[in-house]
Amino acid sequence: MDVDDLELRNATYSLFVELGDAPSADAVANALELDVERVRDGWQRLHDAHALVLDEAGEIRMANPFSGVPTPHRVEASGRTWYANCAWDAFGVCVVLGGDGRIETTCPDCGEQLVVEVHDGRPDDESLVFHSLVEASRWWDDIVFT
Amino acid sequence: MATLAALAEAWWSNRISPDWRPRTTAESQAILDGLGLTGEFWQLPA
Repeated sequence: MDVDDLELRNATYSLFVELGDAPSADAVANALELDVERVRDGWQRLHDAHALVLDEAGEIRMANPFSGVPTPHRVEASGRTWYANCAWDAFGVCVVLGGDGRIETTCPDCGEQLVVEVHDGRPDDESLVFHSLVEASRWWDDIVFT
Repeated sequence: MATLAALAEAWWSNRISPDWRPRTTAESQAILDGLGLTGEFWQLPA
């Protein structure tokens, strides 16, 4: 990853946190004073490098641990509502925003609503079980499913 | 759940830092191994 793509990646993440949602290519282009096509080309390279995930339209689908679309994994942190891509990422959202948060999700097995308070990165209920369905060697075969 | 929280801390902690750099596969594997997430299921692609 070269310096320009690293700057683009960091600006994209910074704007995501500032806006509370996935930034548009236009917003990132304005922030970096770049042509929007350079942003889109760079995003594609970052997608190929697994540094973020684009949807079919070329918009930000994931800037892990953040999701660019609503998911069943909602996180209240830093005064805002965020969506995470999975339970692992839900804790990640708390971690990157200072360590505290409230995760609301559902058990994929029985459908029960689950609420986990997180303080300094630690859950208030350690009795819950996280199940990873996909083996690590295949996470990026379909990262949205993973 | 404690392991998941520790994994999230190790995996994501510098994600929005301006000092972030891509991890190598070996570095990512070391995080998994260090938390006892070992065995074929947790082996990242070479």
